[in-house]
Parts: sequence; C-alpha cells; structure tokens
Amino acid sequence: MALLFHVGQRGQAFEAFKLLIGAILALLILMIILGAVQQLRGLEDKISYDKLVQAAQSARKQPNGQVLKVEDIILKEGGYSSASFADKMNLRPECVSLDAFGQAFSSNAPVAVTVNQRMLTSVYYRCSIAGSQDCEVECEIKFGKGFD
Amino acid sequence: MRFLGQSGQAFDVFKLLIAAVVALAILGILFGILRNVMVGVQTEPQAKAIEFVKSSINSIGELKVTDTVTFSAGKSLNARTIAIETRQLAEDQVCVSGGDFADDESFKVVGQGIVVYSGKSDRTTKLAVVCDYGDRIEKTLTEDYGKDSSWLGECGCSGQEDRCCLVAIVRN
Repeated sequence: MALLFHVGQRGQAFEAFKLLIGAILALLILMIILGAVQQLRGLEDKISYDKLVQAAQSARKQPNGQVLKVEDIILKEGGYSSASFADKMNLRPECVSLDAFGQAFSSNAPVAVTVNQRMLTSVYYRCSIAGSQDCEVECEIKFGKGFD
Repeated sequence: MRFLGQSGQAFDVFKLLIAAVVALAILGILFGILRNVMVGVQTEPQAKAIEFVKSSINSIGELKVTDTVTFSAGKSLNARTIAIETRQLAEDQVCVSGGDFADDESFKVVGQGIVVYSGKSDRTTKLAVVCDYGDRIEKTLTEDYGKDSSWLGECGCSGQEDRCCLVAIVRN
C-alpha cells in the first residue's frame, strides 16, 4: 500500500484528501469569479441606465433642437415607453416620441420601443420648444440610429 | 508524549484550538463573501421578482425582463410577500400572473396573488415586471408593448389611481 499512496506521519493516506481540498477550493474560487463577473455586469447595466436617463433629462433642460448623442449604452431586455421617459423628464407622455432601428428592437413608434435582447447601442435625443399649450417642450428619442 | 514549550507547558492542544478558531473565522468570511456574491446569480423566482419590483417602482411604464429563473415543483410567486419586501408598496399594489403561461396547467393561480408551479421537472423562464399607475397599466401593457391583456389576470390594483406593479412569467 505504501507504494500506491503517500502515507502521513500518523500512517493515514492523505493524497485523496489533498485532491478533495483542491477540488473544493477550485469550485469556491470559480463561484467567486462567476459572482464577481455577474456583479460587474449588473453594475455596467446600472451605469448605462443612469446615463440613458441623465441624457434625457439633460436634453430636456436644453430644448435647442440640437441632437445629443450618447454612445455605448447597454440596454437590457425589456421596454421603454414615451410615458416612462416623460415621467423622468417631467413632461407629458404625448410630448415624447420614441423610435428604434435594428433587429434587436421592436418599435411601436412613437409610443414604445421593445428591446428583445441585451445590447450595446447609441441613443439620440432631440428636444425643441413646441410652444403649444399641451407641450411646452417636445422631445424625440431614437435608439440605434440618429436623425437624418 | 506531549510537546513542551520553553516554559514547560504542553501547547499542542492550544495550537489545535487556535487552528479551529482561525478555520472558523475563515469559513465565516468565505460564507459572507459567497452570500453577497451569489445574490448576483440569483435564479430564485421570488427573490428575482422582489429585486426587479424594487428597481421598477420609480420607473413608471418601463418593462423590465429578468435573466433566467428556475421554477421547481412547489416554487411560487407571492404578491403579498413581494409587496412587503419592497417596503414601499401596499399588499394590494402588487399582482402576479402566469403571463405567457396563463394557459399552462403547471402554473396555477392559487387564491389571490399566488402563482404556484406544480410541474414535475424544473422549468426555466423569465419574469417581466411593469410598474405603472393602476389606471394606465393595461394600456401600457397592451397598446405600448403589445402584450395580451390576460397578463393582468385578476389584478386588483389595475384601474386604481395608485401605483401598481405586475410580475408576469414569460418564456425564456
């Protein structure tokens, strides 16, 4: 038996235990790394969402008709409506219009855009003074492609 | 038989005690890290629903879809628990529904605001979460996002003025 296993000072074979401990440690490290990657992904999503909303609020504050382009926005699977942006921009839903271009989107312009899969894209904002009683400011938001 | 220190005390028992305390401390730290880290890879439907409802409360009219969650036999979505966990919504401001699986017998609506999975094998799905004002949530779902009105099921808060959050089970 001494030829097959290393034997400890007290006579126990400990190769198998070393292997077991190695496997447990490797699994533990793998789980920690996977978890960290997942958390970073969540953080990335949150930063992108904040960028998306802040750009909308910024465009709303400067209704000069200029296009504001925000690149590298990660959009998660889900959807945005004119009402959801209007709520963040302190406007009425009918004063915000949405549109999207690309296979990853389903557009129900001008009221909603559905994101079919997580993706990296650019978002374009354009706000101008409408001057009507219902809409003091009008904003257009386009996903994936700018204004012509 | 015992090792003796310079002062003549036996110290192998103390070494064992110190090793045990250190091992316990390391185990505690590892479990703590793992608990935090595993939140990010949560596939428990109820926990995921709570996380997404919390993040949707202030995102009126947005449709959020979770990563994959796994329903095993007996797992359920409970509107009351979700509402309580958010600490911002009343019990009647959260609804759960079978969503895409409304006609699937494996997902049964039990009582008010509980969907229980009774399938034999595990089922991976996603959850869709929408929070909106109750009187607008149906329009948001059907007209804006083109979803079936059956998603709302017997949602008590739809039609009310207050905020209303819906958690629906959707295909992966």
